[in-house]
Amino acid sequence: MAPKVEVHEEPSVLQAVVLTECDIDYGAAITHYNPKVLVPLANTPLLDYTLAWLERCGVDEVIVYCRANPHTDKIKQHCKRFTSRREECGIKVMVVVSEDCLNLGDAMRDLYSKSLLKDDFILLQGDLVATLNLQDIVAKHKENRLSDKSMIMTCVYVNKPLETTAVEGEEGRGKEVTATLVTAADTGKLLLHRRSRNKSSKISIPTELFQASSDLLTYPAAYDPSLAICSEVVPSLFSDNFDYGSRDSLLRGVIEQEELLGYSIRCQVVQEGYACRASTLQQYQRVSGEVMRREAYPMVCESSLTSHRIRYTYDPFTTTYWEPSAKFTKGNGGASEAVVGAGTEVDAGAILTASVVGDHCTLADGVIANAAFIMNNVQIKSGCELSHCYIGDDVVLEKGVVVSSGCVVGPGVRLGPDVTIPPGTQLVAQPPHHHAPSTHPHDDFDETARVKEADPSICGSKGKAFILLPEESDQDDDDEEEESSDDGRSSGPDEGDSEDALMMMSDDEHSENEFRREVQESLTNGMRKKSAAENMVLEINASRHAYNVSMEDVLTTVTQGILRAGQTQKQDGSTEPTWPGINTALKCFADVLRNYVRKGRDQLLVLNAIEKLMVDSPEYLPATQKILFNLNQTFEILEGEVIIHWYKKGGAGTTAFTTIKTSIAQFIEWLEKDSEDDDDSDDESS
Amino acid sequence: MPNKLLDLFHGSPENLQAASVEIKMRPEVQAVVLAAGPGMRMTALTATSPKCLLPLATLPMLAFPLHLLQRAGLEEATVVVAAGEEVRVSKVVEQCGLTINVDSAPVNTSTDPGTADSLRHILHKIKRNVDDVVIVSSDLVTDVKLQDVLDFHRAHGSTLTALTAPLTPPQHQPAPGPRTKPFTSSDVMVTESESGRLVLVVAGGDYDHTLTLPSVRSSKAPLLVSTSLLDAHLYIVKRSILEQCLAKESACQDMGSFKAEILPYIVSRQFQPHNKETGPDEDFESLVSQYNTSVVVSRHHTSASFSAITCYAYKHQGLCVRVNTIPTYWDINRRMYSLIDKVLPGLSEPRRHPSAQIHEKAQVSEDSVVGAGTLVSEKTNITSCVLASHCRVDPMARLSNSVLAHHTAITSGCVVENSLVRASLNHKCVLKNCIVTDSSRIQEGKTYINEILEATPEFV
Repeated sequence: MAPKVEVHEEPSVLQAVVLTECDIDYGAAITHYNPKVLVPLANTPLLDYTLAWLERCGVDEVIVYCRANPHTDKIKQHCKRFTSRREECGIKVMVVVSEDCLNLGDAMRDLYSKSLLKDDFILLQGDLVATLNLQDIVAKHKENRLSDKSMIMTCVYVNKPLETTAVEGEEGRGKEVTATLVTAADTGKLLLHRRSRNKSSKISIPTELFQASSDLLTYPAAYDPSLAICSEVVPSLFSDNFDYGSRDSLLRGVIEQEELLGYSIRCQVVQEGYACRASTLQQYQRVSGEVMRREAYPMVCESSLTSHRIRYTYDPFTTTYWEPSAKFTKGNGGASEAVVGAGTEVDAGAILTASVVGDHCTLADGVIANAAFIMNNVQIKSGCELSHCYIGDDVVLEKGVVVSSGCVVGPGVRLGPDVTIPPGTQLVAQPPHHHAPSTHPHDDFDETARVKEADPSICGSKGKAFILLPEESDQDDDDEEEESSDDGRSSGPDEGDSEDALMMMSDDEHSENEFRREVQESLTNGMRKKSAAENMVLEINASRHAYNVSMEDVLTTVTQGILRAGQTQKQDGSTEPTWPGINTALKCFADVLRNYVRKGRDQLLVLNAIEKLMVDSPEYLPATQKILFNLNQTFEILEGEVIIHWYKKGGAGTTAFTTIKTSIAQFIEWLEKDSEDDDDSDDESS
Repeated sequence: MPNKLLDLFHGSPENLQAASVEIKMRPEVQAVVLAAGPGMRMTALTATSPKCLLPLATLPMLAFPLHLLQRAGLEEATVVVAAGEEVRVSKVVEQCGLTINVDSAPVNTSTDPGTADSLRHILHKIKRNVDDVVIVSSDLVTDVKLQDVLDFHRAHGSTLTALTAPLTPPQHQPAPGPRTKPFTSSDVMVTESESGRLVLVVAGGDYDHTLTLPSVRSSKAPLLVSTSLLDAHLYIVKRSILEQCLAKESACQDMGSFKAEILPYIVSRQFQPHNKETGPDEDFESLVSQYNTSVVVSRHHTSASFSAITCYAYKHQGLCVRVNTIPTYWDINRRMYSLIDKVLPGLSEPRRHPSAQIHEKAQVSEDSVVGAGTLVSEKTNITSCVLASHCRVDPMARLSNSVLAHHTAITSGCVVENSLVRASLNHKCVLKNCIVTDSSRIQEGKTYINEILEATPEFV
């Protein structure tokens, strides 16, 4: 009827997609109770920062995208509350829930199939706190897009020195949150995108890039707030390429196949404004500090982001914020950089630095809190020391509890008196296996810690807390599911500490883990169904292509997977690697393995894979000799000479080799004798 | 003593004069002009004349860097020349009316010395009391103010400052002579985009599939990896570091080229740990930096606790050309009419020398340059040409878009288009896109197109 009117209205809608299932979370001790995006940062949920910023930047419609889990309703309600304060003309928030969304790629494909995205849209993660001028960025994106149709996405980076603001106790930080960028100096077209992995920060630039542009701007470590302005091509590209999981894989794909796809990506490296993702707990701590120091102005602690009313009193001299109803016993002067919520009582002797205290908490005399993030209704009794830690709702700390850095104390935990929580511990109030299914589909951390009663040596005589084993990564969770007989040692000697536990995973690792998981599934199923070797190979190769894994990794994964598939169920439901089980698995998959072992080097890889398996799961150790014997004699996959060579060279050089060495010494001896005999017989025959 | 001081104030004119001599400032920079280059990329022209004496318009190439130095107030320059040419070189100064003192240092070119070898050769000539050494190549034509570069160098406390400019393709194409592929592999210069700090220098083509940048993560600034930047071969180097690098026991002792080897070496040393120069006053310097946090790196803090070596690129946006190939030589000659005021400001060399005799019936276009003593006869047509000094153009000759060297005679009836003529044309001929260096190759009535007419080497 009136198409003209529609034409005028349609393009003005600026959409933003906020992903709430961020690629990394804070660990189950927090996210089990609260979705990550609703975790308060300086007493304001993370999602509010994102929404408030988008609102200020003139975004009309926000799609909050989440995976279906028990928290979905919380997010929905929260968004409703946020928008209910706005009038009709305010920002619209739509919560989209999907059943099976594992990564950004899935989300994009889902949104594409639902055709919810109309034009250029902003893609970001829900844990972003930013004050960048999005309007300018979007305007520039549109302008570039007009002049260059092949440009499909603008990635936004922030150029700021990360090192200068390093938070204490953090190592290797910023290695996944930064990217090395090479762009064409004149257009800003992205020519090279690399996640800087190692500390040696030398950048190598392929000289063929000079053909694309004679002047290259190189950003050795631009901070990546995972923010992008996408054109409508991006979701369709994701749905065309099912192997694109993350934005990085899209970048890689578009850059590598530029000639094929005919698309290009531009970068905008923003110098002004603030942007930082509270992606890990370390980053959370950092962002908290920066918000308190008003770096994210106008998003400051004293004003509520939902209602814009001034909720806290702010003292610029000490950078402290407090709700007028908070009680400070007279003479309290020990706070600097602190946020104190409503109804909280802070005793005169308590010292707060760089900390956030929620509502209705009590902090007794002599409490020292440094970079502690204390949620609501927490009681902390005298003499407690907290540093660099997260204390959930309703926690009670009796006298003299020391919570070391990197600890997460889940809601409802009681601790003390007089206990010291070692660094990096995650504590929860209920024995882990009683939990309802958590945010992760895989981690019903049942058998991992089957302690029904709280251990007083951990949580103190009045305490009630259970240690939640650090989740290294998805893969380790899976492993624990698979083998699980072992009681936490599976974390391995080099991975147990807090830093690693909280460290985020890069996309490559992620895809490797996904690959491992798929292969393991294929093998376990294949063993049950007695699938033919060709079909297994086909299945594994399909996974390999999907995750873009190197042949070497495939071989390692397949070797370990076969051995893992051979675990037998014990009566109590747990599994245990036993020789008969392994033997059947080997028999079943000998042809599969043989398919991947082509040259002598591959045999070494198999041996190294076995050794690495021993590192993770020492319970395979007794079977090693038999495994090697069968691979050598029965299946003839490994040659005797190769095994001897490998043995003499000291294996893969892991910690497990010494034990393996002793356990297979007999076999090696026999092999050596055998080969001598062979030589003799050869001599005779010749 | 008091008496002497009084003398100074109330004394006789002689005393005052003595005082003024005493307060004459010591020179802070010494200039070295590298003019011994054989001109390998323009052998057709350098077979007969040393490269540094090739005329650009009416002046020898060497006059340009010398005038650049003179403009910056330098009174002396050490010029490295090929042995045997020193007399001709030192004549350049008077010939062009320069006031700078030239100390020519001959090097034996039979062993084909590199620029670094030349520098080693004259190392003893560098005075002990100067701070910086300006090294400039004899083939540089630029309108940069050297004073600005020196100020930049000092303000940044730079160890080495290199003059760079955007690489511009020649405006006048094609150059005479046979068609050749342009010289492609350009230098790679990596600078911090804002400060201009040099991070990496790779001489043309001296890289593989990848280029590894040193780790400069502390810096916020993005790095500009540029292949479109011309290294003008004008460097200001601290004397101390230059001496270090040229010393016998230095790591660079086998390096032959300053640009391709020593420069990358110095630049790379910025990012090597422990590159502090250990000097006698290091203790003092460390105290200064410890207690005086407002210390800014400048030339007075050479060995402050900051990294001792810092290299910068001065990015000049104006004209900057290195005349080292035939296309650039051709281009700069053709453009000289419009450039001469920029690159040689104040040097009184008019476009039409008063001593030139141009017949009133000759047609000489406005944008032509005519040198001293040149004779242009009647009924000639000269458009957009450069006629150096003492040329003779006979009647009925037609020249267009061409460059004539000194003492070139064009016989009547010749037609010369887009050509470089360095030898007299004694026979009537037609030249198009040619380079002539040997008049005996010209035959009567012939037409030459895209050729180099040079003396045949004896062994052929």
